Amino acid sequence: MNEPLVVVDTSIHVASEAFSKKGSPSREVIARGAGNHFKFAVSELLLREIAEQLVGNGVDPELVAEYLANLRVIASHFDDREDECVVCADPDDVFVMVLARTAEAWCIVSYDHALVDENATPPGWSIGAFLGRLRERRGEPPRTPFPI
Amino acid sequence: MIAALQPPDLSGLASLGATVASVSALALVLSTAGPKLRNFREIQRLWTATGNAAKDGKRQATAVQESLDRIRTSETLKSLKVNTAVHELRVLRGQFKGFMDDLDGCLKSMETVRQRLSALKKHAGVIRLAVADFDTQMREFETTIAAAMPEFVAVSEQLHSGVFLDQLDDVIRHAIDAATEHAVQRSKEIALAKTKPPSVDEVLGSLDTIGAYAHARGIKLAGG
Repeated sequence: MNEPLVVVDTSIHVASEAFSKKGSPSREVIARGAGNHFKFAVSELLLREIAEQLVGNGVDPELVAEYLANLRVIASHFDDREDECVVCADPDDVFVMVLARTAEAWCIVSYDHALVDENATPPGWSIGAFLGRLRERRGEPPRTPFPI
Repeated sequence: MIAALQPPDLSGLASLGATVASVSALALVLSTAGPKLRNFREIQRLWTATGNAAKDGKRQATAVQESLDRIRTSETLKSLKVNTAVHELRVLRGQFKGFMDDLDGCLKSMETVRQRLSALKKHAGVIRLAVADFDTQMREFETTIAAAMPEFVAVSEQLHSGVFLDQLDDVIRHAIDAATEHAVQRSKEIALAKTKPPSVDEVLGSLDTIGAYAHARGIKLAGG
């Protein structure tokens, strides 16, 4: 089975729990992506937004660069398109939805309510819904612990 | 970038220390009358609070000045190597806001004391019986407040004009943009140099390094 393409929104990458809480949902998403349970779909705008959020909080850009470099290597890259027209509750999130459509992604996963929409194409899922569906897709029993 | 920052003139606060000392002395005098007169106790409490706020203001002013000096003299920042710029600037902004809040609290407290003193004059006859040198103390009180308030008001107005905070926000914005660009470009270089995909542990390790860095510096990461 091919790994599905997933747009993991900035809110997941910069979630405080991802950096400190072993076994947290956001950390599990990143670990599963790194472990080829799915493929990250990224664009330059998305990578730049992740960098901006982290350095904006005062994190050393060199450390941010290391994480971004890892993402660059394991992710599939897509161009940011300006000709795509989508409607989003938050105009700042339009590029995320455009990326998901361009990549023909399985879903978007986000903490951001503006991006969580079951009925969108592709759907936007909360982190809990995403992990549940990913386990189901992989044939894992519900709530399978992931060694992170 | 940093050279464009024009900090407010805080030299007017040089006499804060003297004011604080005067406040402390008066509070001590009033404490002897406190048990006898409830109004005096209330004023003493407020006056002590004013003194504490003034002390905090002085401390914050010093911290702001030190941060400004550090940023001005920092070769790292001057050369736009932005490793620590954003964090330093954020710390400075927090200090500056804290300083403004302290000064506001001090002014508010001082004004309340002034009003309470006016009200207290109505009962001067009764108070004279309890405090022998009431009139002298009252005059000293009013003189101290009258001398200190314009200075505090002037500094507060200068701070609240918002010019410095606006400038600081502009500088922070530029620093974030520069740091973001640096991180993005460096990530391309690092990615190109990698000969194989990172393992799960390596990816999580790069997250942990960021987490440890943030934890060590008291940086709160957003989200989640």
